[in-house]
Amino acid sequence: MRTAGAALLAGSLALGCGSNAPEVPKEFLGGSSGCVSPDYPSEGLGREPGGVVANLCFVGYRAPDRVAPVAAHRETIAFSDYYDPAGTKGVSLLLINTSAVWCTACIDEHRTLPAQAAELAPEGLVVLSTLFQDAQQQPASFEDLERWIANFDTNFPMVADPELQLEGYASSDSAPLNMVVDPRDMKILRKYVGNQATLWPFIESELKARSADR
Amino acid sequence: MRGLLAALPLSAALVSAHAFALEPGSVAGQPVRVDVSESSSVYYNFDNRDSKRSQVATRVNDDFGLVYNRLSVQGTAGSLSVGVRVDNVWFYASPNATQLALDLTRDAAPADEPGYFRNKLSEAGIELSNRFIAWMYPSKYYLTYSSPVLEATLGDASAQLGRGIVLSVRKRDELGSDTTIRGARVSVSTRGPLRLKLTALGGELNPLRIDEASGRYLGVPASHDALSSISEAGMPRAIRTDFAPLTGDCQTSATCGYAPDRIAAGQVELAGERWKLGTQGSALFRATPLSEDLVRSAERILTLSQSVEFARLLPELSVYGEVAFQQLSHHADAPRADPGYGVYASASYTPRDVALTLEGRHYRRLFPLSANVKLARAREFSSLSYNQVPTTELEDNDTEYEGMNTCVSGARLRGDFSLRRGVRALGSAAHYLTYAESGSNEACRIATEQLNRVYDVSSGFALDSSDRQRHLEVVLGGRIDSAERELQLAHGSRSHLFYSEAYLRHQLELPITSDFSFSLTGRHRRRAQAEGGPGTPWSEGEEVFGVDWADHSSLGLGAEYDTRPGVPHRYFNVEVSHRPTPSTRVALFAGQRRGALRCVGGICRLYPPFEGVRLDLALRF
Repeated sequence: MRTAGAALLAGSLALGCGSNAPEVPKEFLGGSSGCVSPDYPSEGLGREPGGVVANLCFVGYRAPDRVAPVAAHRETIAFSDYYDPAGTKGVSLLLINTSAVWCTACIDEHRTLPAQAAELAPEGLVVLSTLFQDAQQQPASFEDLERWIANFDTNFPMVADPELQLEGYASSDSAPLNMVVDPRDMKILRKYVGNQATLWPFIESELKARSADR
Repeated sequence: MRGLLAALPLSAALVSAHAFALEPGSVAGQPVRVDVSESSSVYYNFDNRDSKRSQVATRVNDDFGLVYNRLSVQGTAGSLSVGVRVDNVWFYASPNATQLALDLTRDAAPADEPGYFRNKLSEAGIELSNRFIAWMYPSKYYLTYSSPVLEATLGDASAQLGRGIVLSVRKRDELGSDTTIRGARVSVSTRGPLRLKLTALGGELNPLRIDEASGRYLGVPASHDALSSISEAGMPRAIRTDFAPLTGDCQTSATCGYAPDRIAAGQVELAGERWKLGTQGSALFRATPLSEDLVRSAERILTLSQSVEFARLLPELSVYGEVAFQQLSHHADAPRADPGYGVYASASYTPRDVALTLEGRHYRRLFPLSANVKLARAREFSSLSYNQVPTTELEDNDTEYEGMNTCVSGARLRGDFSLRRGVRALGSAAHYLTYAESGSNEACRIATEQLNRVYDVSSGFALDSSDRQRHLEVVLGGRIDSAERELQLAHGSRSHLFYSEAYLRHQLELPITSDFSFSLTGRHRRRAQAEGGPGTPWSEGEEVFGVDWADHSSLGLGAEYDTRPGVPHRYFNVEVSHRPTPSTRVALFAGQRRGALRCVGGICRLYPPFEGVRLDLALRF
C-alpha cells in the first residue's frame, strides 16, 4: 500500500511538471504612457531600503490648503517632481505615506500629520500622501480623497491611488506605510509599517544632518 | 489537469499515513519507549471571495493547495528523552505572478495598460517570493534529562515564567504558532517544606517558520556566528527570486523575514505549603531590526518581575500578584523610551456555591516582546511574541484595539453562582481606562485626550441535568468603549463612541441515546466601530450544529454570517471527524469560513476568509 501511494505521488509529480506560463498580450508589453522623466534615476530600482523608488505618478492635489481640492484643480503628481539631485528644489527629505479610510492607524496618524508637516517644512521635509481604499476596501475615489482632505485639514500633497501602486513596497493590509526617501537620489532610507512614533525622531535627525551638510 | 490536482492530495495522504514504530528494547537496563506521531493536513483553497480591485494581496490567496506534514519521533529511556519534529510543506497548486497581473489588468482596465501590468507583475512577484515554496526542516529537536531534582534540556524547550509577562513561549494551536527556545534550559528543585526551584535558560527563539493559512514562510539570513549556524541549521532561508534579489543584508532582502532573537532568562521560586514567591527576568537581544516600531527596533529588552502567590490565604481565598519592570534599549541615535512597569493581580474567592474571580491590571509602557519579523514582507507573523501580558479579559476577546494593553488600568470581576442543583447564574463586569487605543501613544502619556473608557458586562445562566449529560448555557453581554476626545468619522461627523458591541453566546448539549448526542453552539454579535472599520454598524456570528457518535465520530454543520459591506454575507461549512482507533484521527472540513481577528489571551491574528477543503490525518504509535 505504501509503495502504491509513493508510486501515485511520483507519477503525479512527473505529470505535473511542465510549463503553464500564461501568454501576455502584446498590448501589455508596449511602452508605458505613464510617468516620464528623463532625468529620474533608472538604475538600482528597488522596493527595500537602499533601492531607488520607482517614478510613480498619481492624480490629486499638490497644495490642498491653498488651492481648493475640487475637480478643476486636480493635477498629476509624480515622485520625480520631488527628485532634487542638486538641491535646487529645496527638498531635503521626502516622506511617502499611504492611507485608507478603513485604516484606524491611518486616521490616527493624519490627525497630527499636517501639524508635523508644517513644522518641518521649513527644514525641507515634503510629505506626499496617497489614499488607496475607502471604508469598504474598494479603490478610493476623488470624493473620498476630498472628504479626507477636509476632515484632516491636509496641508501637503495628497493623491488618490486607486490602483494601489505602492502595494509592492508593503502590503496594503498593513497600512499605513511611511517611506522616507532621499530626494538627492530617490533611494529609500527607511520603511515604517503602521503608525510608528519612531518615524519622527529619524526624520528630525536626518533633517538635522542634511542641514549641517549644507 | 483537474484530475491530477485532485489526485495529488490523495496520493500525499496515502504516503503520509504510513509512519512506523520502532520495536522497544532497552538501553543500559532501561526500557526504551519510542513514540512516533504523524500529522498531515491537505488543503485546497478556492477563491475566498475577498478580492479587491487592483489589490495583489487579496488575489494571491485564491486557488492554492498544500500538503503539510509534521513527523515527530520521541524516544524515552529512564530519565532521558530525545525527540525531533520535522515539518515539511509542499504546494501542489499555487498562483502565478504573470496570471495574477493579467487578471488584475483585465479587471481594472487602466488607461496605461503596460505600466499597470508591469507594476502588478512586480508586486505579485515580490509577494510570491516568500509564499508557496516547499520546505522541509527540523522544526523542533531536544534532548532532556528529567529527575525529581533536575531537569535539563538541550535543544528546543517551552517556557513560561510567572503569568507570562516576562516570558511565555509555547504552543498556541488557535493561532497556529509553536515557539520554543532553541538552546539550553536547566531547572533544579529542592524538596521539603520549604522548596527552592532555580530555572535558567538561554538560546535563540524558534517560531514555526511556515504559516499554513497563507503559505508564507519566514526566511532567515545566512548564519553570522557559531550559535546561529547551529541553531538555524536546516531552517528555511531567505532565497533569491526573479523579483527579489538577495543583497547579503536581511534588511534589504525581501525574502528575509526573520532575524532570530536571542534570549537569556531565569527564575528563582521559593515555595511553602500555601505560598510561593517568584523572581523572574528575561533579556531579549536583537539582531539588526527588520521593522522600525518601538519594540522591534529595540536592541535589547530587559523584563523583570516579582510574583507572590497564596494558594489558600483563607480557606476559600487564593491570591496572586506580579509586579513587572521593562526597559527597552535602542541604538544611540534612536529615541529613548522611559522604562515601563506593570502590576497584575488576581484573587479567587470560592465559598460554597459561589466562585468569584477578580483580576486587575495597571500597565504603563509594558510591551509585548515582539519577534524581529519584517512586517512589510511577512505580516502573517506580526503577532509572534515571546511573552503574554495578561489582559484580564475573556480568553478570546478581540476588541482590545491598537496598543490598549500597553497602557491601561482596570479590573474585571467574574461570578458563578450556584442557585440550586444544576442551575447557575453567570456574570461579569469590567472597567478599564486605556490611553493607547484610539490613538498611538507608545510613550503612554496620561492625558485626557488619549483616554478611552471601556465598560464590559455579561450576564447569563447555565442549566445542567443531574447526570451532567445535558447542558444549556446562555450569556448576553455588551461593551462600550468611549473616547474622551471627539473622533472623526469617515463621513465627516464626530463622535465620542469608539467601539460598541452587544452579543449573545449559547451552548446546548443534548444526549439522545447513550451513543448519540446533539450540540448547538453559537455566538452572535452586533458591532460598531467609529473610526476606521467598515463605516457602518454590522452583525456577525456563527452557529454550529454538532452530532457526536460514541466518542469516536462527529459531524458539525456550521453557518456564519457577516453583514459588513463589501464582504460576502453568508458562509456554510461541514466538518466530519472519526477516530477509528484511539491513536488515529481523520477529519475533513469543507466549506467557507469568514475572515476574522482571532485572539488568544491578547495575542491576535487576522485570518483571511477561507473557502475550500481541508483533510487532517493524525496517527500515533
